Amino acid sequence: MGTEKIDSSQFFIISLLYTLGSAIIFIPHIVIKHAQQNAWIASLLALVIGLLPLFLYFKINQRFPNDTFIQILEATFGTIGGKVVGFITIIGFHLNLTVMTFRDFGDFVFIHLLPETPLHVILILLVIVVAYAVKEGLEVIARAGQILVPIAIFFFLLSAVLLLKNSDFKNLLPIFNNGWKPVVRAALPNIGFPFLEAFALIILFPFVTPKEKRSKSMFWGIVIGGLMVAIAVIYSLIVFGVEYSSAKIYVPYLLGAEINIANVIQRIEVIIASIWIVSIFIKICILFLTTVMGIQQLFNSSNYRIYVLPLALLVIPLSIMVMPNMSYWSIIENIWPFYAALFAVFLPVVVLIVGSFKRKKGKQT
Amino acid sequence: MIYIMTLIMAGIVLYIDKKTLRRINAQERKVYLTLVLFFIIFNIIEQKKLYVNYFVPVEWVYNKIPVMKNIYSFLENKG
Repeated sequence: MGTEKIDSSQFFIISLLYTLGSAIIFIPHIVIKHAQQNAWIASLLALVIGLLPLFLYFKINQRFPNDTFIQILEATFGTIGGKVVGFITIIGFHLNLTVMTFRDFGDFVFIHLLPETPLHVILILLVIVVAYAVKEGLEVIARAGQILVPIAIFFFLLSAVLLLKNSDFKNLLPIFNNGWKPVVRAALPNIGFPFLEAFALIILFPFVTPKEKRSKSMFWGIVIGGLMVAIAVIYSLIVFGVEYSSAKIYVPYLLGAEINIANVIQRIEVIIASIWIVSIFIKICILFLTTVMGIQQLFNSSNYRIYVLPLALLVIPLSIMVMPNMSYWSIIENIWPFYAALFAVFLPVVVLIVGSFKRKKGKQT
Repeated sequence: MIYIMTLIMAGIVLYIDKKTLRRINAQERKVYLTLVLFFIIFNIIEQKKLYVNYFVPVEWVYNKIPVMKNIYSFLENKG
């Protein structure tokens, strides 16, 4: 497992930035599109429901406090079964999510910041930085998070204060005008993205000390991250209203363009985008790290760092292949919560049920 | 040209990582080289845009995992 350790405050920051990740910039558009002015309720509902699977992960952590993810699966499904389930999970969830998040970042930079630059170049530059960070290890990524999180939160609060002048709280009314169904419908993609994605953090549990504070730090990191996403939804509504927010994909980024201080400080959306760039960088690093750790645990290798460069190579074509164009987002946003639930809800439930049967059987014999 | 560029990229990474390749054991080297082989295969598929006609992962999940299509149509009907 190695000697790397992070403390609970670092794990809290990782969980927070991981939850913010790409959700802070994508979710407002998706939720507002379905629930209109009730999107903020949908976002809070998604936060409440999205926290429930965490208790499954905490229970697994309680039962297997020192085991790696693959060891947990091997203890549940046997050596070969555990490896097979582990392989499917690492490829189907961790690697899949890594390449999708890479693509999110690439698309955003390509559309808004560097439209003349080929997508491949943007992805190659990103993969170099991420591979370097992951080669340095979990501790370094956690320390980078510790340095970057105050900057991200400062810009978040600054933009929240500066945007109050342009806001109209009447955009949040009327509440439940179309009943509760659109709210539940809108909450579904938000549950899958980002709350079910927290499943990937299970791999990091053995590296967090002290053991007793793992659950608490992850829980509060995800709660605060989820609340920040909900605040981004509320601001998108009160500044732009329903029509504009449901038409534009990167609404929170466009919020930055609305800030105008005495006609001197304006067009600061790139500074606002830095919040997102910080969070998605940490999210990509963590996903990449969990994927290489998963591969290392699958093949009982001595160190995960040896697989960083070949996986960095592989991620580039895969992130282009994962969806040929942005129109595939409509499929992803609808099926992702259910696809993710196969790994993030169904698998932990099976692990816990089989684990308790085995324990009962062990006690009887 | 695509084949040559792909091999050059793989060669550059192998050259940069030559110390790691020397240090690791045979099984680890197998996994390492398999990942590089996957890169060569997927990069050629991606550069030639073969996946657009034959295999898009999102479409595969949508078509092959049994209930996904039903879930998608249900949600689309619900707006």
